[in-house]
Amino acid sequence: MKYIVMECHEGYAVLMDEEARFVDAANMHYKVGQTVTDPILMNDKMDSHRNISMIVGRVAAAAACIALLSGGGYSYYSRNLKVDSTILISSKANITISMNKKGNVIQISYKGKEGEEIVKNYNAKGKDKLTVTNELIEIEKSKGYLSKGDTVDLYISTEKSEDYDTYKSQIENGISEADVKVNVIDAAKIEPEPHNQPVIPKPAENSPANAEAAKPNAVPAPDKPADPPRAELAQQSGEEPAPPVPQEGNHKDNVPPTPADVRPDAPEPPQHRADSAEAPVKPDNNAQPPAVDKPEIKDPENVKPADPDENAVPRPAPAQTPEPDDKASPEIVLVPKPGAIIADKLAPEDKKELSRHIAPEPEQEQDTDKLPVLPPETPAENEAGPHHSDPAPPHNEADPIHSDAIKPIE
Amino acid sequence: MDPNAHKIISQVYAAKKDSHAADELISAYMPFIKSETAKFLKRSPDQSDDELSIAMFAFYEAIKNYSRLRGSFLNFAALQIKNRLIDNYRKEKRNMGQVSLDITDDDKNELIDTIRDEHDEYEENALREATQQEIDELSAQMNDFGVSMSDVAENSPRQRRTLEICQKAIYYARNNPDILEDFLRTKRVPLARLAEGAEVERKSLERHRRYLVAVLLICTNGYEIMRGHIMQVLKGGKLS
Repeated sequence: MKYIVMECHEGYAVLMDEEARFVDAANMHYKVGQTVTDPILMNDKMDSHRNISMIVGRVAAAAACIALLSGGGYSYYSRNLKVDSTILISSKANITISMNKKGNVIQISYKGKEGEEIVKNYNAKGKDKLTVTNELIEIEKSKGYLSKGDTVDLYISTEKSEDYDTYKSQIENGISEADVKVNVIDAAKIEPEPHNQPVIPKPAENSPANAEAAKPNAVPAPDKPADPPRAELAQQSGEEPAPPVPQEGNHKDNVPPTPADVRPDAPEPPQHRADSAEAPVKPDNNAQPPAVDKPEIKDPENVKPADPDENAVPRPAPAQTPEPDDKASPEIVLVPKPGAIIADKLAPEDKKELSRHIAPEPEQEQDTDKLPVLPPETPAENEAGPHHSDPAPPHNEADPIHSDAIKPIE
Repeated sequence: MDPNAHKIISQVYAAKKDSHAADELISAYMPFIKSETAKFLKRSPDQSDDELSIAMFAFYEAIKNYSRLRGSFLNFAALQIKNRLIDNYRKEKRNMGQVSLDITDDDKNELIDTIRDEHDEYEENALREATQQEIDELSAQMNDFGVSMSDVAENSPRQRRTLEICQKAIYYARNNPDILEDFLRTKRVPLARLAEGAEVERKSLERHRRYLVAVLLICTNGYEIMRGHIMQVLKGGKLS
């Protein structure tokens, strides 16, 4: 194609081709009237197509950036902010330490006033789980919730069993409290038995319901009668009430299930059990021990003695839970009240005898690990749950069994 | 935004519509153009360098194609210059293995002197000068119609379909001298008659009115050289 140079400018020239097309081209030292071939023509296909391409490209880039940020944000959240496992310090304060996937402490929750008292002035930021556990135990000791020689049950809830093993070994080797023994229990293996066993509303930490609830995954299944059912079942069977499972969101309600509260074989009034068994108790809510006002006295003779083989009682106290991997005897619980200690030391038959004298009280568990029997489920009781905070003993104040059990002794 | 940036953008938008403003803008930013060329050549460009001419043309392209969505004009222009120079380099690279006609032998005779030249340089110069005269006359006549060469280049049909429509109209006008007489007398393009006679859409002709002015003038007497250049079109032959 030949072109005639029609006009020359500073940076371009106007050419006419053999098809009578006028085009702009690079002025390669052209002269007007010159005939040229193979000029450098202007690329004039840029406007609409390129604008659209530009806009589409920018939108695609923005979408890609958003997708990357979202993915990164979710990844960061799932690794750093999402609760992956928990450690429940089964004590009066019933404090739950929540950790992320990396094992770093991201949250500390509590139930009851004792827990609030401990946690409110405590800063766990930047501390690892061992440090936090040690410090919390130390604080509980300073406040009298733990005594020298006590054994603290630590319920670990993890998604993976290997994480549990890791944490268990770390804690067992890392807990520096010499005066307090530590019992690490897998909360996943604590099975609440809502309907069959009387749930002794043990104030808490030892309740398997609490432990399960402490699990990140463990939904404090509303349909699971957490502690109350266990308490009730425990009452029925005379076994320890299920320790109130520390519910994740329930920082204030549940009384920390103390191991001492678990009375495995404490005979309980059948009424409590029946009611408890019927009512669907949420682990946290029902973790409250039975109200003192409603002691259910079970016919001791009908009360099943604490039967270690009988898993009817959702072993409240993690301590008492016959965890296969829990070598330590679950019998040790925190005993705030002297009466409770004494009661715990009672032989099952003595306890039965005792229960006969204690009309309104729910029966105590014969096994120290078992939670006290929860009173019949009432809304109030259920609210209280087996984990209601009990200042002195592991049991709640509402726990008729223990309190009442203690009373005569006193 | 920087006030200078605003100024540049306003100048660019003015240069889009006015060829003189475009020339002034190119002259004003010649140091910038030379600087960008030097970055590519790794040396200071000379006025006779083709790369500098290409860079100036790329700057003009940037003026024509710039919009505020593209961000900074100078950055956009720099990119255009760089791309053009790279394209030219790749094109020239294909010829790198060839022997230059300017090389000299031991007797200092250039190789080009040994090749038979069938072209008559004097004739070519004469033809060029005659063509230039026609073009100058055409430009003057186009000014009467309020049309410049740059306007014609901008208004020239890009798509083949549109070009064929315009060529049909031109062919019809050439075969009907009264239309051309009417055109010269009224200084207006008889779009209705052309559309009816050529059986094409009038709207397409209206969109390329300035182009039709230039081509219809070429069809009138006095522009034999240019008519000879586009003879294929004037004869109504199909586009290649």
